[in-house]
Amino acid sequence: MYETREALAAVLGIAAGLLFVVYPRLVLRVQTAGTRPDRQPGPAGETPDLSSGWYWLIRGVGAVMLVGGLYFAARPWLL
Amino acid sequence: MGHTGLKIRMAIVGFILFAFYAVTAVAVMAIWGTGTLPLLLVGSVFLIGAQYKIGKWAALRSVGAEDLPEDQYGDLHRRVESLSKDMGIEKPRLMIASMGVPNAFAVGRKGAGTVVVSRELLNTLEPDEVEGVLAHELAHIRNRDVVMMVLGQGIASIVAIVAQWAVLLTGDNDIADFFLAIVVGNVVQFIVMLFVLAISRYREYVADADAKEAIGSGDPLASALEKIQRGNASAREDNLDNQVSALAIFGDGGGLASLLSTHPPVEERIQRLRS
Repeated sequence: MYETREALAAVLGIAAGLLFVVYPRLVLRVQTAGTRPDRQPGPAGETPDLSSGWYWLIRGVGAVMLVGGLYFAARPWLL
Repeated sequence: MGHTGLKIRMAIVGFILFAFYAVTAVAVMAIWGTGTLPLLLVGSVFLIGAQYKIGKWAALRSVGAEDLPEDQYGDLHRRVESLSKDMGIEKPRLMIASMGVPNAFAVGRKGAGTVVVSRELLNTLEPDEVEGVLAHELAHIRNRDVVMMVLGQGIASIVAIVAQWAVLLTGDNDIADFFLAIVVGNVVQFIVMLFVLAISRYREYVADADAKEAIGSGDPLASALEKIQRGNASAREDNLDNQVSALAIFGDGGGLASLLSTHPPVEERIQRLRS
């Protein structure tokens, strides 16, 4: 049986993890909006191409969240 | 800022952001006591100030921006000086950088603004189109869009940090609490930013309208947007061909991207500029 926090950790972890892994460009744009105009869309709304290292870093964080979410989803059966 | 639509939208979004901040303040006082309110207020000012200063410095440094030489770009300096005068602001510092794509952005505030243009932008656009783009960036400075976005991101960060600590401190130190705190922080920041980005998209329309008014026609900026969009589309196709950008595999997120975008659709902006 899931506890509330465990269930939230599973659902939100999987959802946020998928978002980070699939749309790293979007995540970077939202997290740097306002503070880093060089990472924001230019005059025509196009995001400048940045070093792919940033995107892989975001994907890495997303993968950790995804694995964590799956772990909490499976924990009642593991314990 | 004489735009009624913008004022109404700013009032609504400002109220929502204030509500987020107020709930955060109440949560802080409930967890740590009422004496922590001054600390929250000072911490908020410090965080937002640091984001503004560091963000400006980092943005200019990351693109390697240099002052736009007056002897080489005297005409551009004169155009910006004239536009600034017409728009009632001080002439901002003009800088140039190589960004790989036609791009321009404004940092700083009214009276201490900086506009950076990319070499690619100057090479791609005609002088009147460059003027349109610069007028758009000057409008961002005049309308305090840069400051508003920093403020919005700052509030999102504060709400996210407090949400993380609230999850952490109300739990029982289980690993699920630590994990949930990290995820909740990110989710909360995204939710607050939805409102900030909604107003950001509207501010783009206002900056377009101001640029149109300042230069007497929307055509130069509309034409610049078309050219930049075409150039970027072609660059993106090249990237796809070469599989250089792993991001292109997934695209930009479709409908979600529109909701989380700082800019409205280019086609709509061009239509408004030419209407």
